[in-house]
Amino acid sequence: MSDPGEVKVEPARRSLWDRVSIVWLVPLAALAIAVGVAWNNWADRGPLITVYFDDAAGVETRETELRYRDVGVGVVEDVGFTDDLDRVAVHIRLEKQVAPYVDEAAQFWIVEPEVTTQGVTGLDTVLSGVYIEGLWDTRPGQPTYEFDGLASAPLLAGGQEGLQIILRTSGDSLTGRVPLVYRGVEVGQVGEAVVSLDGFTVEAPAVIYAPYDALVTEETRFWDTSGFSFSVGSGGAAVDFESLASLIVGGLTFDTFVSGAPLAEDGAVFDVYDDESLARSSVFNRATGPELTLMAVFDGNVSGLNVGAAVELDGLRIGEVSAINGIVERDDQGAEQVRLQAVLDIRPGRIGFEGQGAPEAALNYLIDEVESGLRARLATGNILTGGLKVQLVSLPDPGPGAVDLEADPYPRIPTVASDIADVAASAQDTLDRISALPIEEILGSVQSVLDSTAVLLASQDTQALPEEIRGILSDVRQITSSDELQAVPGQVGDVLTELAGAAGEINALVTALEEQDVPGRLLGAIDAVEATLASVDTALAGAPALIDEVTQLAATAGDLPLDELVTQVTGVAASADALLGSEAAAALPGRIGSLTAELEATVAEARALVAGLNEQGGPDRLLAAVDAAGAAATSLDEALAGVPQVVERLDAVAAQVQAMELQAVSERLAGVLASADAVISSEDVQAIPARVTAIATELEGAVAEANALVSGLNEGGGAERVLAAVDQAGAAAASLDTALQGVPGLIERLDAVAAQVGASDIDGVVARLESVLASANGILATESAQALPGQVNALAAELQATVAEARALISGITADDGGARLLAAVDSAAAAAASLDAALAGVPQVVERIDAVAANLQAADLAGAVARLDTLLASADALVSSETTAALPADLSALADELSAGISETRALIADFSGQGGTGRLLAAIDSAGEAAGAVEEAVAGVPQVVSRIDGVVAGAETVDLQGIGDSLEQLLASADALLSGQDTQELPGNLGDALTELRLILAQLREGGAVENANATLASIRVAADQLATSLDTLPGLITQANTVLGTTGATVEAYGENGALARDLRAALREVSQAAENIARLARTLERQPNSLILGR
Amino acid sequence: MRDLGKDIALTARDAGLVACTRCQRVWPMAEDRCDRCGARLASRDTGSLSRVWAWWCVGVMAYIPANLWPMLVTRTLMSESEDTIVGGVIELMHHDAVGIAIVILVASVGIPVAKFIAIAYLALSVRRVTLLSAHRRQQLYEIVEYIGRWSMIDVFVVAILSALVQLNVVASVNPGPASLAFALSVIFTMLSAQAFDPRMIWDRIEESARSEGGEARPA
Repeated sequence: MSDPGEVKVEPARRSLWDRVSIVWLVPLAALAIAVGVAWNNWADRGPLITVYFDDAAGVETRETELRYRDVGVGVVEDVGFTDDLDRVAVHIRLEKQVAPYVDEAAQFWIVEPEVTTQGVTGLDTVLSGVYIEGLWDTRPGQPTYEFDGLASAPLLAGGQEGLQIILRTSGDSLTGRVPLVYRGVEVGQVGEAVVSLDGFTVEAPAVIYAPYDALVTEETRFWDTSGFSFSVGSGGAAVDFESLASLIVGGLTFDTFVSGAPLAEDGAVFDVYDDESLARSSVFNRATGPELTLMAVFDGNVSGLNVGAAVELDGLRIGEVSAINGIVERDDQGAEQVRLQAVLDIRPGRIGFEGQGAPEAALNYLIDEVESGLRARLATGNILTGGLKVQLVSLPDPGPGAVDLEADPYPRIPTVASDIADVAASAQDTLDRISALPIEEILGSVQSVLDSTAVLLASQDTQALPEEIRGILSDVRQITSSDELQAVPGQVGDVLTELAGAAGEINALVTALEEQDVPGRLLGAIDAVEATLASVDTALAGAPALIDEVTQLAATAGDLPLDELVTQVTGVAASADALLGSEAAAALPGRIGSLTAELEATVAEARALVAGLNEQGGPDRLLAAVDAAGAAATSLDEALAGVPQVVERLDAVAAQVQAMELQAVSERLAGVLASADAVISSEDVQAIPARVTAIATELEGAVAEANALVSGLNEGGGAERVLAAVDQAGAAAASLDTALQGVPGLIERLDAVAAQVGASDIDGVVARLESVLASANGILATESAQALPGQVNALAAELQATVAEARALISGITADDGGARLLAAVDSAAAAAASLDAALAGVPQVVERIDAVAANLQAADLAGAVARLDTLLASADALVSSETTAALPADLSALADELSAGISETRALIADFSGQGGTGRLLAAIDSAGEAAGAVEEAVAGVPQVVSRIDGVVAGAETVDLQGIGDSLEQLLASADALLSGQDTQELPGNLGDALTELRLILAQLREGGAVENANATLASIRVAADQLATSLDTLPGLITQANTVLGTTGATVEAYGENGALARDLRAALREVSQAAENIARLARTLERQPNSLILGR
Repeated sequence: MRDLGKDIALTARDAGLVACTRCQRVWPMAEDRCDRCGARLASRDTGSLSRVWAWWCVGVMAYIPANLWPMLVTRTLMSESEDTIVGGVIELMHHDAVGIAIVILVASVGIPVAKFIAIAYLALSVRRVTLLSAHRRQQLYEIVEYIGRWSMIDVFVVAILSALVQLNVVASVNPGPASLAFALSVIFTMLSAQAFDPRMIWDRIEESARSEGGEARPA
């Protein structure tokens, strides 16, 4: 074995390059790659932003994307919480490219799968998971790294543009997430509805997409179209809905009813109305300018106050209730109480505040008014529905109160207790009362009354009435067409003739006056005229009042039942006999004796006067007068020649009367006399003779005075003047003679009349008289009648005093040379006598006429008249026995009082007269009397005319068909009698009495039942209702407008049946949608058939 | 018994020969190439350690993302899950598949890490005194060499699953980026192991024996 030797192996010293393997390039390259990748990652990484959400359902780290316009632009890197665990913080790594655009305005929300009535959104997220959608504008801005995420997608997403507004309503017509539809086309979207901060309204943001935003102006109205409307019009029933979608989903639509308003701007607030008509009417009832919102809190039961109720200030509607809710308040005791809080929208324009700052001005005004008593209260707004309204009323003493400006959320106005009338209760009460009334009984009575009336009306007598009236009318026509009435003008001619004669007489008188001492008499007459004028002046001052008194007196006298009076007087006269037998009456002859003595002296003076007359050739004149008187006496004698016959007749009448059953009458009379006796035997009556004695004494004095006066006349050469008067009297006597010529005929007529009277049936009349007397007896027995003598006594006393005064007056006249003046009066009397003479000239003719009338009377059927009289007396009996008649004595008593007072006044007047130099005045009065006599003369001058008129009248009466009238009257009376005595008529009072009883009962019940209060309350309610009605009428125009709108809708509905109507369009749109939907479903079905997996793949 | 380590043998280099590392034919030192197989002849590969360390570094670098990145991307109908190696193991253990979890853990984590450590130890032990004898180190090297070809088992699983479970939307399994990294890491580790010249294990024995006795010769 060879040894190859030691080989020294030395490792070569090699360079670094030799020692380092080329393989090292590989790790270097790997390193480079790693570093490069890392750098690249880091450099490409965008900023990390943090978005805070309330929750982050489905968000997963590194999986959930951030998308912008459906393109991923970032990834969630981390999901955590804020420090207080309040919210979820999602950290998102943005892509660098979009980072500059994500500025403050960026919005983020989580897109989740959502199935709503309007469709399915976010379906892709079912498989892929949720993602976060981001929205930002296209301009780079200040980088921001923290954001608040939205709970839901914003209305304007993905670059859409449009108008963003706020919709508001106080009702429930606003639901979120519904489409805004305009004429069937969806043009916008309503966002999530939220309750406003004040809690009274619901607000929802809404958006109207461009370009439809140009449809919305400030005057645009929004309303709810969800559901459908059903209307019945003249064209039939119509169902209307906007679209199928809105039928299911609901929705809002809008329209601009008035053009010209500026376009709405972002953020504008619009009210949502319940339906189109409301929206439409709101355009025209819109409030101008801003509103003032107040708040009022009411106590008690306020059911009936609704949103929209009126707010009235002194009856003027100034706003409405916009919201109502309850609040819990603590009262003074600390107890909790639920009260009603109403929000009032006041329109300042309604109370006169316009323009900017109007709400503040209106608020200040209300603050002032509240200080002076203005309060809010609830009042009945609608009496039927019980709806309430809010009244702002000024109360006189409302207690302290002021507008609470600090109240939340609106100023609070103080309130007072409500003024709500419970109409229902009152009405119920009233109805109860009415039902309690005895209606049935009343109806029964009324029915019986009606039955009686029917029978009465159907009676033959009633049927015959028109016939009777027609007969009367025909009689009247006969009278007016009679020849006598036609002859009236001729008689007027006679009267004129008589006037001519009278003028002749006056002429003669004037001649005689001229022959006498005219100037002196004229002077006296002038004196008299002067004084008379003065007196007349004075008298006239009191004349109107006097006339009034006289008129009143006449009226009173007219009311007097004279029959009764006469009966009474008769009774008194009968017992006056007893009175005459009294001592005082016995003393009277003594007084009369002295009176006779005085008269004797007076006659002596008169004799002296006559002697004077004698000396002045008076006998001749007197003789002539005596002749005339003699002729008159002759005439009288002739006239009296027929008197025995009359007497005979009267005798026969008396015999008949005697034969009558006067016993009962006597008894009655005895009763009457007993009463009268009681009256007369009273102390007052006993005192009357004494009074009369005193009066006689006074009269005696007065006669003495007259004696003195006559002697004065004697001295004043009155004889001559008296002669003249005697001449005239003579002439008058002659005329009388003439007049008496016709008297015998008259007497004959009277005889015949008496004969007829004798033939008539007096018995019945007497019987009636008896009952009348019985009634009179009752009257006399009354206290008032008993009191009469006392008053008569007082009357006599007054009379006595009056006579005394008169006496004093006469003595005054005598003392003041009244004789001369009296002479003048005598002269006037003479003239009057002359005139009387002339007047008497026409009397014979009158007598003839009367004669003729008597003849007619004779021819008349007196028997029937007496029978009628009997009936009349029966009625009179009833009348006399009536309470009213019984009350007469009291009236008489009062009258006597009045008379007494009147006499006492007269007396006072006379006393006054005497005391104040009345004598002189009386003289003047005598002068006036002279003048008056002159006037009488003038008046008498007109008497012939009157006489001739009477003549004419009587002549007319003469020709009147008294017989026919009597027949008609009889028939009439017979009818009236039959009517009165009919059974129905007899029953009438009974029925009437029943009816009155019922009526009285009803009244009593009404009075007891408090019906009056209820009626008052009801009336008050009705008044309130009327006020309400007035208020309602104020709103009537609005109502009419609404009705108009409704009609317009109806019209549109009817039109909709036409080719191009809105309904047709809607229907077509709806059908189109349905058709489209069906088509889509069909297409989907086909697609699924072909590619089932597309269900999974999503393609 | 003879202590092999202490035995000084005549080495080929000592004999002036060089063996072909590919076909084991021995050639004179002067020869540059093996005439039989054409491989380059070198008595000792002077760049061996350098290459080992280079591949080793790349392998480790690739092994990091292989563990951080998802190995499998599993898509089911509703969800998509990505599992790293360790995450997958934990997942399996939660599903009570402990055996499989251990297998995967050993195959994917234990063995690669062990290889890194083994290679690094071998490379370091060439120049330094080591606790293990040359024989042990030779055995270690052979184990590393042997096991290297099985290290791709994870990648195989991923590849098979990806191929099999492709049920479109319902379920699908795709390899994650970590599988690539893991494969690279395995490859680089194998390269690193291959780059190691096991003769260097023994050179040290020869040198120490020569300096002690001088008669010992490497074979």
